[in-house]
Parts: sequence; structure tokens; C-alpha cells
Amino acid sequence: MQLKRLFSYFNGYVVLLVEGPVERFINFSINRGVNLWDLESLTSSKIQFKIPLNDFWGMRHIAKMAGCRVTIVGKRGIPFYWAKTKKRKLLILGAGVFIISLYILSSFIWFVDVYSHEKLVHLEKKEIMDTARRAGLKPGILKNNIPVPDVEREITFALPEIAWVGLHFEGTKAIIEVVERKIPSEEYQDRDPRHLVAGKDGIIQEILVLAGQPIVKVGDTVEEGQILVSGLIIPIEAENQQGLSQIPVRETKFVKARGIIRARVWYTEVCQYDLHEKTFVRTGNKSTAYYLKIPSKNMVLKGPTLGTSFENFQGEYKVVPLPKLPYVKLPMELIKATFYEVSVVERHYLKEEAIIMAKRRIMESLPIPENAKIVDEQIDVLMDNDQSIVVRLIIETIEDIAVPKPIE
Amino acid sequence: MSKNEIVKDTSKKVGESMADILDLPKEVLMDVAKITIVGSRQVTIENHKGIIQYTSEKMRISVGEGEVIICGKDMVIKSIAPEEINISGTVQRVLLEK
Repeated sequence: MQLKRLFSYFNGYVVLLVEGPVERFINFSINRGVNLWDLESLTSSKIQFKIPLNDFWGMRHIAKMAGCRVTIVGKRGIPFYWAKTKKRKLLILGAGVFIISLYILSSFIWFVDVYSHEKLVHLEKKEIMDTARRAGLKPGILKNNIPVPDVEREITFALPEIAWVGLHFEGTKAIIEVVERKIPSEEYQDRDPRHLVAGKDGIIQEILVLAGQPIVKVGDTVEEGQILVSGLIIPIEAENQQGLSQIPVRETKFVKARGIIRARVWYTEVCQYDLHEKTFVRTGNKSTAYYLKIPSKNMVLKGPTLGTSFENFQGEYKVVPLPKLPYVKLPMELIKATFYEVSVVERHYLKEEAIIMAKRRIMESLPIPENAKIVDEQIDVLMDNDQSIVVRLIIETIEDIAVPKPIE
Repeated sequence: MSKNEIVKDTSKKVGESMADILDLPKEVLMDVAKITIVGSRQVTIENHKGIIQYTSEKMRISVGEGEVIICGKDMVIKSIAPEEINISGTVQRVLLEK
């Protein structure tokens, strides 16, 4: 039914008002094979209905036969619309110009974008876009004039960090799809020979050499900077006493020394800790004030002045942005100040508590690596009076002290 | 009974028995109307013979064997074609008079 409506709209239809013996009129028209629809009976001798435009011309004859009067109420559908539009030459011209310009403009590239499935690590979008520009891909050129394979090849050659480039278009947007080359991690890249040297003073406990020539033994005392494992492998003096003269003379080899050298390391630190401590606790009372800050002085707008009613307080000052006026910059600032009342709490520590606190503070400050094993610790109270204590902490750990150092 | 009527009568009977034997719809083989009523809002009459009276409250439609009278409110002929008439609106009464 809806489809039928659509067809009749395309072919055009006429709304007619017929007066007279309407039944006769209807019967005549259906006998002639005319399809009528949406018949509405207004009075007993007056109907309104719709007929296809094609059948309209026969109506006159039918109306004459039935003795009815026919009035056209409306003409609807594409043919009438088209006839109306045909008179408006400029509109057609405009529509034509619009479609043509749309077509022409859409055959250009207006935007260039870079897309990468993974986050770009070595390159920036701009770099790729600049390279593409040099290769001939830039906004404002005809889509058909872009040599896609050439641009792809040129970008790949210009940027060695790129493994693959795909160029495609989405409307007026050119999208450069990029896959970055995976560059091997530094561990593999860095093949420069190096030593392992001691990072701290200590006594060697354990040696595990993966590469290189160990120089120290278990039990040796080493100083910071001393070579533990050498990256220089000097060939052992050829032992060709038993006629094994064919052994080729090996050359000195440079390797990247690797290994784990665990050593006993001591840390000593002295710390002073006060037995009395003042802390401020906010009571929850607060008051707010607004100031206008003019270059020469502060003007209180609202609220208590700087000296609030609180005995002890902490103040917070915030600049409230003033509405921006065009061209004029106001030479003043609105400041919102919030005062929090605080009560002063004095804390007294026992000596034992203070020692624990001091130890904790020392532990935090010592550069003990996470994988170090603490073997022993010793606390000495060096000084103690009513005001403060002085504590010395000695910590003994076993840890890996090997630090790589390039060979000059 | 005139000769013409006898012929007509015989053809009618033949049509009916044919429809019975072949299990075909009667309105196709015989020239009779098929009236379809959808709730109280639509009436479709196939094989009608024209309109006798048409107002929005009452419609009389001639069918082969008499006339169909439809009473209701705000009735509109949605479409009318030589073989089918489609009425919609609030249908209150459908009467088949022979």
C-alpha cells in the first residue's frame, strides 16, 4: 500500500472535488479502469478523491456523462514539482553548480593524517607528514595525481625506522598507515666491551661470572671503582711444550663482562632526633575573606581582616579569576582567603620511641638497594639529653655490587 | 424460465461443482463477491459491481447476488478499482441483502 502511494507520488496525482450524482461518477470511472483512492464523502452529493495524473484527462468525459461538476483541489507529485522547478532556472543552475563543485572538490586531497596501530615510538606524526609532503602528498592535490606506490616507497626509504607504509584515501582524507620497525632492545644493541667494577666498598662473598675474566676472589676486600670482572681476556701463555705447535695464537679478546658479584657491605649513618615535637592540627573552624588586591594595597571586601579571631591559624590564598574584559586588563586581583584554626599539639617522645623513629629515618635515607639482604644491624646511642638523642646505625648487607663500566 | 436464464443457471452450477472438485476459490471461478472484514476498521469487497450509494455513514455496494450495505462512521474509500473496493473507518454494521 505504501509502495503504491510512493509510485503515485512519482507519477503525480490530482485531488478532485466532484459534485453531483457521485455514485454514478464512481461507477463510470471504475468501469473505465480508473483507480480512485482516498475517497471522502463530504456531503451526499459531494466527494473528494485522488486519481493518477494519467487518468485525469478522461475525467472530463466521465463527468459530462455522469452530469457532475469537477473542481481541481490539488496537484501533487513529482511531475508538478518538476514543472514548477523548471521555471526557476537559477535554482537548477545552482544545484548543478553545487553538485559539480562537490564532485570536483571531493576529488582533491584536503587532509593528510598518519595512523599507526601501535603507538609511534621512534618517529613523530609530523616527521612522517613532512616526508610525505616531500614525496608529493600534500593537501590540495588531485587524488588521481598521487603516485601511491611511489609515495609509499619514498617514505619507507626516507625513514629507516618505518617497516611498512600503506597509503589509502577516505573521501578527501589521505591516511598514511605506518608500521614502525621494532628496534632491538639496548641489551642486544650494546655490544661494546666493558668491565664490571665495584659500586661500593665491601668484602666479596660470592662470585658468579657469566662473561669476562674474574680478577677478584672470594674474601677479597674491594674498594669502590675497583675492577671485579675484566672485559679483557688475555690469552694464557701457549703451552705447546708437548709438540702441540699447531695451536693458533689467540688474540686478546674484548667482551662485555657480565656476572653477579655479591659482597658484604656496611652502611653507617648518624642521626639526631628531637624528643619534643610541635604539630599543628586543624580544629575544623574556619573563616573566609575576600580581598581586592590593587597594586598599592589590599582592600578587604568581606570577612575578617588578616588578623583573624583565631589565635593560631593557617591561611590559604586563592586568586579568583575575574571576568575577562576585552582590550582592558584590570590592574587588580580578587583573592579568596580561607583561614583554618589550628591547635598546637606538643608531643613528647620516650627515648625508646625516639630511637625507633631515628632508625626508621636513617633506613629511609640509606641507599640500600631493594635486592640487598640485611644480615646485621647495630644501633648505638651516641648522645642523649632532655632535648634530643643522637643515634648511630650500622647495617650490614649482602648485595650485588657489580656496576658495568666501559673499557677505554 | 427463459432459455437464457437456463444457460446462466447451468453455467453457475458447473462453476460451483468445478470449484468443489478442483478445490479452487469460488470467487475466482464463479462470479461472486468476497467480503473481508478486518476488525471494525476495514472492509474489502472483491468482485463488486459498482456503488449504489456513498456517504460517510452508509455505503451500498452492488455485488452479483444483491447488495452489501455497510453502516459506520467516518468511512472512507481507501481505494477503488474495477475488481476491488477497500473501505476503512469505523464499521458498525455489514449487511448482505439478496
